[in-house]
Amino acid sequence: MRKSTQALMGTASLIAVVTGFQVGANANPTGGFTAIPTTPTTDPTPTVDPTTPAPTDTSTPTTDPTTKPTPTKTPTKTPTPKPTKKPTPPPSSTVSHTSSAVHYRYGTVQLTVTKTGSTITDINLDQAGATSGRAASFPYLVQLAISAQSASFDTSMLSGATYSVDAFMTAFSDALAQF
Amino acid sequence: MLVEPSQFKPKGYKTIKRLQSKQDLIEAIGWGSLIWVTLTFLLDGGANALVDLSSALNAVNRLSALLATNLLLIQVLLIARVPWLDRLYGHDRATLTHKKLGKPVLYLVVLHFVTVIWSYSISDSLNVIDETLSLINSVSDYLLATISFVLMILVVVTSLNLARKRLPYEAWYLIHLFAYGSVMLAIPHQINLGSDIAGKPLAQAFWIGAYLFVALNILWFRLLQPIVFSGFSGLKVSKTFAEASDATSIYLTGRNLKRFNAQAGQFFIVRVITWKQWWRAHPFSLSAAPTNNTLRFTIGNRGDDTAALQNIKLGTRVIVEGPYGVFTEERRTQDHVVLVAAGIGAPPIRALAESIAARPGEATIIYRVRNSNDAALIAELKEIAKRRGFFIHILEGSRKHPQSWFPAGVNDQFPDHERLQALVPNISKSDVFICGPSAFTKAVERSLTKVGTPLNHIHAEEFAW
Repeated sequence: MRKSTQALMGTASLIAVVTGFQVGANANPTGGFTAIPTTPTTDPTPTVDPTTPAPTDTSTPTTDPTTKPTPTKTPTKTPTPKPTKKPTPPPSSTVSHTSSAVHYRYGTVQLTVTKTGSTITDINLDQAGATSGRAASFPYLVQLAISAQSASFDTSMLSGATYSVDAFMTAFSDALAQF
Repeated sequence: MLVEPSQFKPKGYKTIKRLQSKQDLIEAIGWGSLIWVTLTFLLDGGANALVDLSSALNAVNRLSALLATNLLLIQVLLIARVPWLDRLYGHDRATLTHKKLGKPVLYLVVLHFVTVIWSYSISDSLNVIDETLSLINSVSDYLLATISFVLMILVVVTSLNLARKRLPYEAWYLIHLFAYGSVMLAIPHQINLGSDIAGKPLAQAFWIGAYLFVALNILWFRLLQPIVFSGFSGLKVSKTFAEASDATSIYLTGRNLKRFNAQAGQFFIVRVITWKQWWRAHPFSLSAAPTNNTLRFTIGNRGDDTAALQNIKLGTRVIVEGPYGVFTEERRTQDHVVLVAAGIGAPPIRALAESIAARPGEATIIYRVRNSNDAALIAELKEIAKRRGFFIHILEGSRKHPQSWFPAGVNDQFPDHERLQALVPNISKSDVFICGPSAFTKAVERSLTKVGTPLNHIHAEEFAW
């Protein structure tokens, strides 16, 4: 590089890094998971384009990612999202089974599945640990699982939370297997 | 049978200015990519909330990973011999930069690995060994990344000067191929788990784009294009000829060789397709200006199996990669030109002399030989000089001092640069192309500096392999 170009690039880089640092100081360190707003009561299969980063979903009842910038295995209790609709009075018996605790890279997942008859009516997250905002995927998974009524449903819209999703699926299948 | 001289017209320093702007552009893009990844890290709040050791280490781990990957891709591109880089920098400078980047990339990768384990082990309250094992066991992407890490260390360590000298070329080369594996094995954990990439569409697009760009460049220019072009041209060995006791010419014929767009002064990586030779490629210099149906290379009979190539069966298929090198007339700025060759540096000089655009008296050929009865291409150089009206000086015999590049004999009481000035009076206003062993090249460059030839008139490409 010629001297003049070097000077130009150097100045531009310095400005970029300083500005980046300043702007970044006010940013929340986000994790990998991108929350996608869904409207599960009306549309059980979200069709929101997963490639566009969704605006911050204020309604997502998750652990605050800002306070957990580093991975930690301490099981993070998430506010348990209860299904919005209470099941109609059971025509048959209601049974619950709890999965074994699934330990994975970003935490531990353990859940309790409640079936009324042969219908999955509730999935309670006993432990839903995940760091860097990945925990935001669990409420979606619960909704998706209840609407799918099985452990086979499309999770491709939950980008950036592959391992949390896998851990959830393992725990979910484990609980289902006990019925 | 000589080709017509080229229609090249030296454009003075415009040539250099234009070249420098292009180089600056490429370097600015490379530098900008590093700033870009740093910026995305900062904008994301990467240097934010560094409340404890673990989070600080985590920030270091993220940034070092981003910079290492970026530099690694640049490094791979530099050695890929892509023509658009080669034309700007030449193979020797690109290789040198590739080598220089090796250690910084390794340091960054080690830093990344160490800080990841350290930071996670603090937050998981495990010792580092348990943490490493738990990472590797729980997530397959981390296992791949760890293998990639080990391979990278192996590649860089075997390339350190100390190890490089002790290893046979083939062993080093095979280990060096692991670098591709290392780069690829690291991809899954970056895309799936990287805090700065996973779930971030813009970052994913940037990195996948960067990987694809590098991969396609390598795939096309290093693998497919040589096979496709050589195949379509039907390149075959048509003749071999012993030029001297230490040099052999190999003639290749084919159809429509213009597609390679080769120029005198360049070299190809030649791969002879026989059972024993196909996996070993050699850099050969063109020793005649390329025509539409012939490429002639002259090679020194030294080292590994160049000797075996003399006895190659005629009609053997050949795949060539290239052309490479900036030892060409394109770099000329002046009307006068001096071509200096020593020993086995003669082939590119012979090719340049044949096609160079110069009126009688504008070009001078200097050929330094030990013994003119056993010097490759000497008769051809004399013939070209005679037909085109160039000056030619054969410098024969052994040196007086080890530092000198002139032979002992007449006028040997004068220093080299004065003897050079006497041979070529307008040397300071000429372009000088030098090809020979690196000690010779350096000695000539010293003389040129003393007689006042500007640095950007001097063209030399080292064939350091």
